[in-house]
Amino acid sequence: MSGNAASPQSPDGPRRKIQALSVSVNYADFLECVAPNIQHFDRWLVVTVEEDTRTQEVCRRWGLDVLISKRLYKDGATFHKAAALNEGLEVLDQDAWVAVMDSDILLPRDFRERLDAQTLDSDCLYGLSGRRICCTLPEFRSLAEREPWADNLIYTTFVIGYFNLFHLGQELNRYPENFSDDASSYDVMFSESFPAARRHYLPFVCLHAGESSQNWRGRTTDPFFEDGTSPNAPAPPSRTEEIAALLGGHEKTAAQIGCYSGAFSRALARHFSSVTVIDHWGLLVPSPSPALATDLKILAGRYASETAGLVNVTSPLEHSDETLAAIPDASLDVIWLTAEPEYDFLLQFLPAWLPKLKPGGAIAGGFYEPELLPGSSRVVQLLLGAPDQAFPDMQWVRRIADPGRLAARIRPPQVAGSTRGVVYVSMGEHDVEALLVSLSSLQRHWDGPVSVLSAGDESASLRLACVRLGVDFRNVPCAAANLPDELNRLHALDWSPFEQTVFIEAASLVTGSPQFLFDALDGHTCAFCDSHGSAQMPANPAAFAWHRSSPVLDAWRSLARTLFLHAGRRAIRETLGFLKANSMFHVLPSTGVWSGSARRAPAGTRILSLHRLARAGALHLYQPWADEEQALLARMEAGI
Amino acid sequence: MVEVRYRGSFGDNLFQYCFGRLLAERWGYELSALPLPHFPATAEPVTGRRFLSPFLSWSGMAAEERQLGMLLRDRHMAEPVRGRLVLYGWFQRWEYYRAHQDAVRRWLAVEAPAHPAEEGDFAICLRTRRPESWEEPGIHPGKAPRWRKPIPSTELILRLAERVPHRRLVLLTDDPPGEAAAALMHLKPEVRNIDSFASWNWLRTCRRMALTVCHPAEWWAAWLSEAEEIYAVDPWPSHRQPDCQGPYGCGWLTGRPLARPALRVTEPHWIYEW
Repeated sequence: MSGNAASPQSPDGPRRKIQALSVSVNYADFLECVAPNIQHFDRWLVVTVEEDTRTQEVCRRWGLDVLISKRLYKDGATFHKAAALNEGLEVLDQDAWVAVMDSDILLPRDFRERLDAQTLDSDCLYGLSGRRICCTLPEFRSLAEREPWADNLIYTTFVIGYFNLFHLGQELNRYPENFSDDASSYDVMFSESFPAARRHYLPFVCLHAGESSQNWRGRTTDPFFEDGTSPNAPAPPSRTEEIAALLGGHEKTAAQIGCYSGAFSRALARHFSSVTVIDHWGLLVPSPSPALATDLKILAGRYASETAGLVNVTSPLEHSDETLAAIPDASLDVIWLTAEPEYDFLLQFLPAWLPKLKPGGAIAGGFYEPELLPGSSRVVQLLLGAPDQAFPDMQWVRRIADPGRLAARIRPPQVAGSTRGVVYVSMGEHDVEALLVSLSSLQRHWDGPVSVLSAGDESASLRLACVRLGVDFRNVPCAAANLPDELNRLHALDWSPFEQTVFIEAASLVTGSPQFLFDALDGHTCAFCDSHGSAQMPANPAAFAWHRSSPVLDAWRSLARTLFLHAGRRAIRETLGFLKANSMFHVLPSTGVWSGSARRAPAGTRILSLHRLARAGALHLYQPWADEEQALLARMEAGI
Repeated sequence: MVEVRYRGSFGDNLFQYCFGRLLAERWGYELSALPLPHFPATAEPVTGRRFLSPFLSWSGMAAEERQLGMLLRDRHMAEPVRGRLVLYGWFQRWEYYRAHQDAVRRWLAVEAPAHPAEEGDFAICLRTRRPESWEEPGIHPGKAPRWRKPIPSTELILRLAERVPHRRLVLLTDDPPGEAAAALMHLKPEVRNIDSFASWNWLRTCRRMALTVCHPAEWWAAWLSEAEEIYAVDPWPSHRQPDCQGPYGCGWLTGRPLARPALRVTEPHWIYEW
């Protein structure tokens, strides 16, 4: 089918007519948050039900059209969203574009301008390239005020229903109704009906109010905000000017990390003698994608025009080693982060940039409010220390007395090349707390290298804690999601950076040096402590040592993996028994690593395995563990 | 900077490391990747240009710009990306590696096994578990097909085992009591665990082998080997054939053509018609 003359597909033609369509039933709280989207559309039709007067009220206030659905619950349907959308599609102008959106997504402020610049094909289906999930209203509001939304995005891997843009004059212009009577699959089926070559992403992302992938069968989630809250109340006014005045002055220099709005650069230009601007979001980076290239051209052009004539502000510079090398050490008074303080970025950024800061210089940024934005605030606290000043617009300032020293503390320790080291493995958030307490206890008895291997999705809290505790952190792959933790842990151990490794299980209190396990490798490639009493394990897997050349781990893992098909979780134990029976490892007395009752731990116990208490969620009931936990908390809360 | 974030297991990680290193060396960028267990040369530092931002991410089977779901071809990779490129995908397409076999062999050099394969050894790899990469969300709608019985059928494998001359038959399997292994037992094979590194390293030295599923680990062993005959399967013979006869079934991966693995090696010693 060819393009439609009344809705030209070229950005050079007359403005396209774009309508919006949403279903909102018991979603008035979310709809209220995203109602400003109306500015982008020629019309926004909301399909709801008679009883949902709150949605109708929101629509009335914001000028959205309302259609009362007759088919959403027809014939006992659970929540037939496809049918309701089709009712809406029927009444829209069939000679125009439609953006079918969930009523909980907020589009960028300049969405329409940027969309108009795109070349659209009226035979195609367009989705957004990603979204940022905002679980709380404060998070949503703070981000809504601060574009671009570039961090912590969930990229779309399929054009799915939270945003579909298509031309109603083309053939595939109704949602399939036969697959389910709820909201769970109609969008995937619709998307699938377009050949792959006719599905595209637009280079925009949105904010998603509330958790995603919920409410498939109608609203079940809690209200997004309490009654009486005004989600679109104006945000506290920006304090950038005031903070810049505070930090700036004659011959003061600043680096601005991230350029998007020219207003920010202009504010800094007024208070600093020179401002070095870094292209953090890649406005000037070429893209192989024509859609993205078009969009970047608009954004870069806009920034350039908004900052034209500023003689003390550099053009955006690429964020490379060369740019950094051109900035003399200890030359900057302020480094100003305009992006969210995202931990993975800061862990690279701070060691590289802190040396550029003068002693006593300041780092400034946004998104700091420990109660409302605990995630980003915690990152600032852990890596830089609590800000010296925090402002109502969530901006903050932290002065750094000795930037070089702080950079050194944040830089990860070098363990590559170390012969001997201790390794922990985290299999997910559930064992992070225990692992850190155990690590804290280890550091009382071991000052050699330690590496924490985090298998699968990286744990931000664990990585940040490792920075604070000065130990190596490695995110390693989780071999297979359908295998038990014990087996995936064996895979993870392969990634130990050491020639000789002692592994210690997370729920273990270290009461003495693990050196005895290293010593046991003299003349052996692998050493376990014996199991004791009625324990079912043939050897104690809570802590053991091996040499990289040892075939034992490889054999243990591969045999257990095969046996797992037939024996399930017993596979670990049985294969360990097989290895022991075949004298494949050196066996030490059981006292070194003790798994029995903690109270009956014999003298000479160096590693006390508390996995039974851990399984019962009762580690804190063992006083020495609770004491160690308190000591750890004190260390973490202490200033960096 | 090119940064590799590993996913999946052994064979997957080899693709990820090599893809990252190829890009880093092509562009003169620093490579940030954990050294692969068992492969000492992967601990060599690869130094070069470094960017702290913007954050760019490629994922998928083929290189895919995550921000736009755009599949990238070789021409897109010729010019360096100007940012911090994070690789979080599978990159299981032979086209990326074929011209770089010597370099890849250097990176993935390992100590020879104590007992390498002998001249008359014939290895048959029988796997029941499918690779983790097949579960990649978004590459295909719905679920990947369940692993079928040995591919091709047990009868074909048996016929192959009888046809290929050998002094010793070695079965590498993750399911020794399984149907296919059982059907070959009368040939008195030596059975080994396919999941162990030791077996993989041995397989790499084998001159004749049959890969009865296209699993990343065995694919690498075969591609790095000096084998004279590699009997292989191509589970992805075509894209969306109306009357598809593909051994893994059809209808899977109907999304983007490049979003699926393409590991068919068009070299004479890789034999797909058996």
